[in-house]
Amino acid sequence: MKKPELLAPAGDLEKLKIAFLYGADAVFIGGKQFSLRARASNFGLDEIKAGCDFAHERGKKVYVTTNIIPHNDDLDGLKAYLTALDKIGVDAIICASPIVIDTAREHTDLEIHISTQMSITNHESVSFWQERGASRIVLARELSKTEIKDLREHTDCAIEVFIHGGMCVSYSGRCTLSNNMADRDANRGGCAHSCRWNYDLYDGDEKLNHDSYFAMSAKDLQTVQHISDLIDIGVDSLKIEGRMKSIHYIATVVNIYRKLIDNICDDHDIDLPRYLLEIRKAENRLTSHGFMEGMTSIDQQLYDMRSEQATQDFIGLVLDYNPDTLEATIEQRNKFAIGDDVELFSPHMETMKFRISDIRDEQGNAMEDAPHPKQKVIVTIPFPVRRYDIIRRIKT
Amino acid sequence: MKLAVTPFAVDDIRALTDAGADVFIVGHGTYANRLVRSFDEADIKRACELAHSLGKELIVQVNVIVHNDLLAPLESYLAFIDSIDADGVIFGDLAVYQLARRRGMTNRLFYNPETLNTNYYDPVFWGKQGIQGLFIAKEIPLADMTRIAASSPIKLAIIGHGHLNMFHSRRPLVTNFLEYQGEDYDKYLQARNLRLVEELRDESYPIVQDEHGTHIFRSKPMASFNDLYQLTAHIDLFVIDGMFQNAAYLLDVVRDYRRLLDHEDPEQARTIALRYATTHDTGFLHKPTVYDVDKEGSR
Repeated sequence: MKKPELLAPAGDLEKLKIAFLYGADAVFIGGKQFSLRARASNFGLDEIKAGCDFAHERGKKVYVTTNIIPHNDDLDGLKAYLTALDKIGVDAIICASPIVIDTAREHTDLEIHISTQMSITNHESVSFWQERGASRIVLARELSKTEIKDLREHTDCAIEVFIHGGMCVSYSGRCTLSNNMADRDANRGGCAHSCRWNYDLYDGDEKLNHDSYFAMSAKDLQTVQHISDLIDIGVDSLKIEGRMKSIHYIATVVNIYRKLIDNICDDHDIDLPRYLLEIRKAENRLTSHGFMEGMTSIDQQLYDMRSEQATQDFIGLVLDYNPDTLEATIEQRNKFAIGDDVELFSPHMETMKFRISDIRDEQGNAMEDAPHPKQKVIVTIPFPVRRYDIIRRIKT
Repeated sequence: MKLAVTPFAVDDIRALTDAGADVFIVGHGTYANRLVRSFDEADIKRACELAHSLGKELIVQVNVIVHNDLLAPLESYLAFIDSIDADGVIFGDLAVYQLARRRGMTNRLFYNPETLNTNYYDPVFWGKQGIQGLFIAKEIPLADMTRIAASSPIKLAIIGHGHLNMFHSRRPLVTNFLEYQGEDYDKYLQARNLRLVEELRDESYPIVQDEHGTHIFRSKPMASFNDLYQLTAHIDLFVIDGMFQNAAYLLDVVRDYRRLLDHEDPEQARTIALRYATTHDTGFLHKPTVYDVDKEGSR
């Protein structure tokens, strides 16, 4: 059984490190140019270099999104940028436009991945780009497992499949709701998420929605139950979406799929309910398997709600640990207090429970609780922990 | 510049020819999205013969997003299109290109992936692939079109008039919602009479669900009378799309464009443009969209 790559998103260097430490084989990041979400990017060329160095020291990979659909005015500096990425040692770029692809092929040795913005849904389209220099195709999110299997059997090109995260309800790259309704170009990083707004549905003058708005929001993708099949099919890379997500989200989701993939490939028994329970700790958005089982139904749609809140359960990130005094220095991420029952989530060991028995500030002053975001505090943890371990509240 | 139009029936072709159309675009619903009507193969063949007998061209729209199970039927369908000697094929999925290439049909293809042809290099790239032409994305302003045209080795087409789509989901969003409300939905789907109104916006967007999913359109159809003389210099195929309209409307529109094309008359163009001004807009011809804005942007 071939073990697929686990590919994770990273919005900044810290998240990149977290993604690798918690089990990703590769991460994708956006630079400050030619990427959707470019404005939200914290990756200048120096940070991209630092990310690549961190990855390569560990035998892992970094892909950079260069996936806008550029207009004439957006093309300045393309060659220089791609050349710089090549020099840094980026492992691949993710592209959605012929000019980016051909510029990279002509002037660099960068590997080319074809973005899901191209909506590749069949093996003939895979071959088209394979024949024109692409080494991997990120498939459209509209494919069922049956379709992915059929496609896999007809191509030797590497294929990448989304397994977790937000979904475009439209075929990606073919949607201009945002362009039309908010003057913002979705294919150049301006998506206003107009598909998640509230609408009334009319038949002529008769309003058809009664107690709620017409909504077309898709639930987020979550495919814990389908990973085994995707591995059997021979998918080369399993991709988690979410460059805007928190480190807690990245750590939790990456680690769950890491363990799942390893256990499946090592032929261990899989306790699916436990994985499903764990993955809910990442956030409280409703999820579904998208198109995995075929055409979507109402179970894949979100009605009557906008579930956007992040969970409050992530209370701290471990920065340091002193094994002699059992003192951990942690960075506060959500309010917690003495007496809280918490668990230590780590890529290095099974999740361990403990109770917060004391909190001190950096000067050693005792505190009842830790109310300040990002404050560094000291707590006692009765077992060894490591930098980048995560402390989260146990729901009671 | 040739005027292309989407007839509602084979027999419309005669009157539309008289009105001034040069090219007819038809398609079969299994292999095309957003047709004014689905024509079966017999009708497509008849349409092709009629157009040719009138000295006009016929293009078959094959712009479906292709999932694997459609590849085999699509192959036969392209063989059929080849056999009737159609003058063009509009495609939006690369699978159509791959299959057409094997039949030696690449030089008849027009690439219209809706949103993807946006800069000067796209026609250069597609020129290398040997196709007949491509559609510039609907969201490209006029000023950019001229720059794209300057270096294009192949024909350029635009949808210059009609209801432009802005969204295509594979999901059956209308029936999903009505089912969620506990309602029978079949009666709503056929009439193409459904529309969406966003809670903060005073516009309504036609929404259509069919075998390929859900399509949402701009609130107003676009017209290009005021810009026609600039477009003629750069655009080879100007498409008038009759979505949500009828045969009589198409005849009027074709006549109006034909008159302006045959006798250049900017004054007359302004007069005609005014006639359409309240019911139509000019799409993105003069409306550049923002490259990138802060995440907390406008609504």
